[in-house]
Amino acid sequence: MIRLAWAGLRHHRRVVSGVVLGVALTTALLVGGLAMGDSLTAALRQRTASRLGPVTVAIERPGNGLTLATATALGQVLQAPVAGVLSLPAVAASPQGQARQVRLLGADAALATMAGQPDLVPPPGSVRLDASLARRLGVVPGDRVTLRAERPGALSRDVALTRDADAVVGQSAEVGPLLDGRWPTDLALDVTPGDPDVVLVDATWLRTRLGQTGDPRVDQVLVAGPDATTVQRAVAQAWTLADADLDLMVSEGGEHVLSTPRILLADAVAEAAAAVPDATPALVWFFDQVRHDDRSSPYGFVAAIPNGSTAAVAEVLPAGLGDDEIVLTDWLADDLRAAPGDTVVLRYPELGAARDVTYGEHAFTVAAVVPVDGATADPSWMPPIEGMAGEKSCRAWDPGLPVDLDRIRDTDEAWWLAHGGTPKAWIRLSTGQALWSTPHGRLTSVRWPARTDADAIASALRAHLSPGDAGLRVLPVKEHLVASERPANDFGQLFAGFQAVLLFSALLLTALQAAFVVEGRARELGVLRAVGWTRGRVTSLLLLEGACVATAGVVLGLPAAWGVAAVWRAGLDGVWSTATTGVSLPLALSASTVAIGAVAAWAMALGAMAWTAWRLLRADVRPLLVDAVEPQAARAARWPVPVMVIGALGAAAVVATTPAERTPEAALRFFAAGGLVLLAGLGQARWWLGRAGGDPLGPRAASRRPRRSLSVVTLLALGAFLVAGVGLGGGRAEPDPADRASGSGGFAWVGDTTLPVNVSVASAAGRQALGLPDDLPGVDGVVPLSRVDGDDASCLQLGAAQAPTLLGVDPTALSTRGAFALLGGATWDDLTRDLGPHAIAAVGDTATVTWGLHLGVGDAVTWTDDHGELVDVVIVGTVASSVFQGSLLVDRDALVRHFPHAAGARTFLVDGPDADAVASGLASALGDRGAAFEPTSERLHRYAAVEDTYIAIFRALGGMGLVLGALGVGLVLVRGVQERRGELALLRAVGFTRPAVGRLLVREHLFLVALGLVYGTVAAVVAVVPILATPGVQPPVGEVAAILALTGAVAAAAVVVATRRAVAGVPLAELVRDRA
Amino acid sequence: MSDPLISLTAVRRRFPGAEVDTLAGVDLTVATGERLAVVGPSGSGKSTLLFVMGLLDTPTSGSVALGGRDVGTLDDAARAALRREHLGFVFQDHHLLPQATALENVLVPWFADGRPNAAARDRARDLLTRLGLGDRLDHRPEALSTGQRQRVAVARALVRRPRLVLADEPTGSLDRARARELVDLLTRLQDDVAVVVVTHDPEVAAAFPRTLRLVDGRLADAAVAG
Ligand SMILES: Nc1ncnc2c1ncn2[C@@H]1O[C@H](COP(=O)(O)OP(=O)(O)O)[C@@H](O)[C@H]1O
Ligand SMILES: [Mg+2]
Repeated sequence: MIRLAWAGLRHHRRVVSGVVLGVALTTALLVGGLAMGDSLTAALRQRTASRLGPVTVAIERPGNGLTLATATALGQVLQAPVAGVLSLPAVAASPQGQARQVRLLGADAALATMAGQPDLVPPPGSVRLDASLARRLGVVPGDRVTLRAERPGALSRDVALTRDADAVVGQSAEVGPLLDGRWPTDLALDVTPGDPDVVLVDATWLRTRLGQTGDPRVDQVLVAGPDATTVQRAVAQAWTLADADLDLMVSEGGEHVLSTPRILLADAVAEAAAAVPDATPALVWFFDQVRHDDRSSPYGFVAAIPNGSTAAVAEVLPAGLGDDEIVLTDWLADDLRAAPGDTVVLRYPELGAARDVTYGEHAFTVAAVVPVDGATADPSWMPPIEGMAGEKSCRAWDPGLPVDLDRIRDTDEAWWLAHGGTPKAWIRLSTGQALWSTPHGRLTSVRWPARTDADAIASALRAHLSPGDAGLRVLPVKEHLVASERPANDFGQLFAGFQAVLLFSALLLTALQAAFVVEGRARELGVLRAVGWTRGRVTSLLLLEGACVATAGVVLGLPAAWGVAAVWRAGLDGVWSTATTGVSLPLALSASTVAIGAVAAWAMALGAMAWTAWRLLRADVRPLLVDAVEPQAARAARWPVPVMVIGALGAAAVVATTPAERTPEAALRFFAAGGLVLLAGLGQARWWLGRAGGDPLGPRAASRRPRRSLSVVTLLALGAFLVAGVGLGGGRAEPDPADRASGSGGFAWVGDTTLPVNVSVASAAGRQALGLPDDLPGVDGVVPLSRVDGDDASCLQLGAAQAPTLLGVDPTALSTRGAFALLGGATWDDLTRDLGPHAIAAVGDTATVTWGLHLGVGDAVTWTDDHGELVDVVIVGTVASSVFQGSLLVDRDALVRHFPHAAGARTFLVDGPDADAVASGLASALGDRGAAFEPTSERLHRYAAVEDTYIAIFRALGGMGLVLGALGVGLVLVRGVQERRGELALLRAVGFTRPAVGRLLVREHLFLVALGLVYGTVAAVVAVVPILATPGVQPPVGEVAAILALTGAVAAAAVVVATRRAVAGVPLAELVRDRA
Repeated sequence: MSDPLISLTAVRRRFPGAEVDTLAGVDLTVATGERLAVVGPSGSGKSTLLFVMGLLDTPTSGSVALGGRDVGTLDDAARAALRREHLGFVFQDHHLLPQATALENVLVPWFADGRPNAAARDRARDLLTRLGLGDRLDHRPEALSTGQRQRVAVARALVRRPRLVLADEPTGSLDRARARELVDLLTRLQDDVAVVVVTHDPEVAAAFPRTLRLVDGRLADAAVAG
């Protein structure tokens, strides 16, 4: 049988080679398209390698970092390369330019060792950056750049207990030798799109510039080799109280005092400390004044401790203070002329977000007056407030809290000199906490009696605290980035999809040619059947031949696939580079892609051939011998009319029941309606082919091979439907900055800063702090958003985002404006829904949630918060194509609760009539903080550009598919003419001239082309009605029309050329060709 | 003898690459209304002769005159016009268009330079009726028997009132009875229509008043060659 198959193939080698080419084309397209997936994966893998280098795990501690000593100790414990670095978001500037988002890396020899570059770290005062950043800044080695970063702080600068005025430090440095591209040139621990800009300086120098004193600290510890679990264990072993910003000191009275530069002890720490026996928790608060009658005393500290405390001071204070009772020091009592039983009013600052300070008052009854002596003369009660603690004179105070130095009297100055921050009064802890609790903590210190062993306290604390409680986050960065290597949307599949029309055309061409081969041999097969071959045996013979042909095609197609991949890649690197957001893809092809593509192409080709064979062979022997050569014209088939009716009625029903609202679902329904219209059209075409009447020599000739004709119509109609549908559907309305329901939310401008803005621009104090003009109108139109940087999950992100950026917003700022149309019945109030201590409600951009994260409403992404706890960010609603692409919106308060260090605002929405002025004012005032403002329409355009590019790729590839289909029409024609040689010769004999015969053929086939294109286009128009009906939409009509016209033209050219050849090649001898 | 309708003078035809002439100097004149059969074994060149007479093939040398006019210098379009006006063909294969009805098939020659007018339609209907297909006008070829199809082909050859009908093995696909009917039909055509039939079937030839035999590319009287 094999020899027979081989002989058959050899005999029909001309047609067979056509099938081989068809299979080769299919293979090339399929494998070449899928290769784009491999290329993207390779690019993402490269990204991981260039960002992480040898790093597998990173340890971070938001805020103040951890000690360098612990980093070094970790190296010992892990016996692996470990490098502690300072890593700060920064702005780099030169007279020629500015880079808004650079990573300021303060490194030492450890990083140099890890990188294997002994000269990596530049000398103090010098900075290293890479060539691309140098180019953007317009600097060369020897020039100077200015670096701006925020001083790390233990407590978020959003709280007025910190100093904000000098938070941003600017420092000029000389550009040293450029980084050469080797790691850590692109060091980054996340998958932010774009090329990371690292600016490398000496760590010790940077610490000095940032004003850090004391034990050297680092922000990040990079670990090379061990996995996260191992590192987690090592951290648990190696961390110290100092890492957690905890100071355990001994007071003058010998008591052990636990305090923190953070001023407020984090709740987890407070709990752990309370669990150590004999603990006295304390909340010591600054007061603005204490009044008694007409006398008042400004500024000082009041301490709140629990009743029954073991602290030394408790022995002096009356036992069992009431809720509204206060104990005054004799100094204060004298100052106020207050005696036990009197009522004094305490005025104290209440701290809000954005450094907001308001004042509250509380009336107390004086329970006792105590002398300032011994335990009551202990300045260690005072929390280490920046700008106060350690100042010699209180006239030199310059804390974050507003103080009016003019109010300070000599007597106050004398107290400060003698007692410093020693509390001037005492109240109950429960009362203090009721008045002064903040989200950042409820205690300022905890103390133990002198008899307690300091080491015991320290080890008990460590035992009660997890490294997470201490704020230490162990990040499996390698795992995270590797997970992001999985493309967000499989490019290979996407391209395979883009190529759908192309592939379909290639397959149809293959199938048609395969059909020609089999049909051309009908007689031969008939003879085999006649001499006794079973149907199965004949089928086996054909399949054997088919398998050989398919294999040959696949083998031929694989090298061509490389070419296809190269062409697509060139497109993605060139005209379509928006789709890859500028990431250059390497050309890569994995074995599995080759295998999958080859097997699929092989199977599809063989399937097409088998189907044809089956169609021919299921009939009797007789038609094989006779009818195959004498094709019967189509008769009316039974299915077309029902299909027409069902298609048309179905389309009408779908359209009628679709609400006018413009939702993705409505769009999908219209696309379905378009599909039904297409179906009805095809039914109509088939019905028409089966109908008598009309010029017998005209287009009706197409009815002689109805299935073949219908294939041509279907191919072109489907192609036109997809290309025109997707093309026209890509039209979008100009975003309207005035439309609250639109993706702009009615905000005209959106801006981001690299360094946080910790004050409110709406307050006069804030404006003053930022240097904004005091009379700037419309500043209350600014909505500030806090931001926790994570993975960009927008369409600009090629990899799969793991933990997307979180934006914290005041929900009422959006709900009162009615900004952004939330889908699916969600409201902005849903953001404040209580989902428990370990979950935050979030609203995401539809595209981000669906495509970037592959999630839906109700799903959650997991973040590790600043307290080292896992938080579920639960999606409760979505908003369509908004400026929030790539991130999730959460309630600001919830965000700050979990990420106190992200409290400062770093994203701004601006609306109102003066939005332009406000935005430009903010942009220039916040320039130092790396501000960039842009109209919301521009941002939306940028996101839309990616989608538009995808659509453009689809249009281009679909167009190519259509053109290929048009060539297929030519093939069908040539084949058809071959079968009709006798007839055509007869026409010549009865007096048709050669051109007249040619015209007949051209007419007949152009009719099919037109039928396909028109049906496809009409169906496409139906499919995109809602988009076309949206006011302001400008669909790319011209481009789509051009593609269709090109298809028509290519089809016409193919038809004309094929006709010429066919007509010239019909010998009149056909008239008498011997049969049998 | 009446006026010559078509005359071949010293016609030679050698196909490219062939070693011998298929037609090696044929002289033949067919008069208006003449009935002629050309016989010869398969491969003797009968079809080639018919093609030359039907202006479907051009002789290597020698001349062909139709109605006294030399056709050797005419281009494709002019020859096609002559075929339309004056010639009708019947082949062994009927070459009917499967998508067209019997009536439409008969009218096909009229489509070569326009559309059939009412008179042409009447004539086509009339012809089919006379050939016994009056009740089959709207049938497609697949619904007709082989003999019926061949009769449609004959009607097609006659629809434009040709002066010469050329038939190449017209009975080749038919059984004896059908063949006899067809020959009957061809020999009893109107008097002013000349008919040339080429066949290898002596029985068919016998029905024609004049029979020529094609041997070695030359024509000889059938009786002589006997
Ligand atoms: N188009 C052609 N090209 C080459 N040779 C041809 C062609 N047509 C006919 N012949 C040759 O001319 C000879 C006569 O053929 P033909 O006229 O068909 O004979 P007949 O009709 O008597 O059977 C044959 O040998 C045939 O091979
Ligand atoms: Mg012959």
